Amino acid sequence: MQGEPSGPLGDEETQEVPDYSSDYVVGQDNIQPFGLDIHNPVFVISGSAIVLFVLFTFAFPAWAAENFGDLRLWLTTRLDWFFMGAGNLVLLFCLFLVLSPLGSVRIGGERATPDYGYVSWVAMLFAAGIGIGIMFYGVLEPMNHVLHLPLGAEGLEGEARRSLAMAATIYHWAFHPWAIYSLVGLSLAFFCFNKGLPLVIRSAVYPLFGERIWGPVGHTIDVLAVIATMFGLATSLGFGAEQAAGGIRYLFGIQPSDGLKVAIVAVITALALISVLRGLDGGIKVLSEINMLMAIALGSFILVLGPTLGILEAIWHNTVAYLAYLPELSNWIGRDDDYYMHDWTTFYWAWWIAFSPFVGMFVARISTGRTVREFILAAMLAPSAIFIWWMTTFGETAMDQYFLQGFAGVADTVRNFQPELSLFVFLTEFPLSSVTSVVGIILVLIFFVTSMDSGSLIVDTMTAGGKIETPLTQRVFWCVFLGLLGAALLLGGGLSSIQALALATAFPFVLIMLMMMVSLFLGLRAERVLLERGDAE
Amino acid sequence: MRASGPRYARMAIPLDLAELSLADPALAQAAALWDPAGAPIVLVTVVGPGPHASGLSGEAQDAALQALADDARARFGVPFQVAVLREHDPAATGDEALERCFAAHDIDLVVMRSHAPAFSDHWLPAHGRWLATHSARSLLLLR
Repeated sequence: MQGEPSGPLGDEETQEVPDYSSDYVVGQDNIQPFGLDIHNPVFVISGSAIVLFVLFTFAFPAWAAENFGDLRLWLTTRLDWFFMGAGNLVLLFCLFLVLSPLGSVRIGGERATPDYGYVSWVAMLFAAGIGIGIMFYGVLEPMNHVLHLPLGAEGLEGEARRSLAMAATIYHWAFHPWAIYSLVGLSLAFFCFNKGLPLVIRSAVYPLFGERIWGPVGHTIDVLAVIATMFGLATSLGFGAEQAAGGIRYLFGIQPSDGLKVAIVAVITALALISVLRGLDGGIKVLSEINMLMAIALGSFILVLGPTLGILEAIWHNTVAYLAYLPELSNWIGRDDDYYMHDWTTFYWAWWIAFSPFVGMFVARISTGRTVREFILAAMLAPSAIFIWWMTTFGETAMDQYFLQGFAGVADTVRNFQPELSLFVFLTEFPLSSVTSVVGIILVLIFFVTSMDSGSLIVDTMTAGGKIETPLTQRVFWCVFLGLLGAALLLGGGLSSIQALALATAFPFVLIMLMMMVSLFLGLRAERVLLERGDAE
Repeated sequence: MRASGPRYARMAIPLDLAELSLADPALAQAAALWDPAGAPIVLVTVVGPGPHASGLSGEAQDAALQALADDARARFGVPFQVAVLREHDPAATGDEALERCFAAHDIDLVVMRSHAPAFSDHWLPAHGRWLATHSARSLLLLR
């Protein structure tokens, strides 16, 4: 190990400004068994822990279901203040960075240029992150909230009721999750591309721990990140396959047997493997752009054939409603709408945070060349705008179907909580519903493929000590492992139990995020000083 | 003393920046096969974004390779030039980037150090095997 952060810069004046770079060389703790290139001990501990947790869940399914279920309940009901408070703090911190002079620091150094244009960048952000949510919740969530209004506002009627339902939906998908991903992504990007630290989660808290971060503390952080990512992706894949099978039954009448679900996982894994082998630009980037175009086409189809003028007006009204309700929805004190606040908001917040190492690292990987200000504004505003447009288009149309046309199909999927069916039931009210439904299935499939591909990329980087030039075999291994994990959980039961464990990782990650905020502030402040002195790269 | 036999006018040596100290056998072999009327031997490496296992980043990577080229020229009496290929995802596209570089320089012989096949190489080929099965160039693997 190489001593404390290399702060002292020579003369007395510069000694006060640490530069937070390290002599640690990426991959220096790696070992090369069987031609692989893996970090010792993060790879072995995280891989073993994942296998042991899953075997334990299979061996004691009832105990796991009960206790991990209780853990999930405790997290979402007792820690509402913790997750919601942290989400608010992160959002305020991001706004502070945008407005402060620290926002002018450029990721990758002053002369760095962006690797990707805004369109590709946003498409990849979306596809690797929570984009799949638009498929399952775009129709279901607004309808759910309009039927079970939050904030104890059950008395609201008409436009006011619909506005609150839309604001409550947008609240979960707009600024807060993207502020969380911006913080993690920005922290990693800054300490990796500006300070030369490895692209692993521990690097983002280097200013607080110094060289000790390359020891057990850092191992723990990275192992947690790997477990959160693997469990989060595997359970998403498992639930996604169940939902896709449900959709296929609805559309084609094929019974959703275990064989069908495993076949869906196998197809997604096989496509993800092809994407992995084609690399970042030939795989994820291309698929993300295809997905973006298909989503725009589907959204435009609904916009044109739905209540076009009403939707266009509602985009503005819902944006204003979202901003107006934002303080109230963000406040956990004195609320009695437990269903909305715990089953939806706190669950979402924990889920976004559990996914933040994965999404944040992926965002960092593709984000050099932008200033901190550009990074946050683009990462928060563009996806938020897309979500507002999408949720308004689908949500307002679904509410029109229910309130004005008397079609209760979507409302029934809400009452029965069948997110996999909401979109397809909704589409039956439009022409060419068989075509649009197939487009919907393809979109879901591609979103899963890009998530698995980017997940494999990130888990490989995490377990290789931040090394990017690793043998491709490792990424293939993680992709296949993810597929096997998803299939095993589907067949052996335990999807909910393992999902609860993924959620549980959000608790320590909130603490890590709080440390990231302090670290990033210290790092950017020092970078500004070094830039003014001409000492930074 | 140069070996008798065929000489090559346009050669390339792919190198790992983190293992430049192991480059000597490839440099010596290429120098021995170099045609005095030929172009400088191209030392080429592929790097990704972010910190590298060599501990070098950005322009320092170019400088390290250039230093090796200068040193090799002095020791072997053969001209060398350098090419640093920057890829977004070098693990996946590094071999294709190398092949594009070879094509751009119209390379007729690639000389590279290679490891003995490991377990993982049976699933996905290492750089040498990939080039042997995908590149139109002659390839000399040194172990």
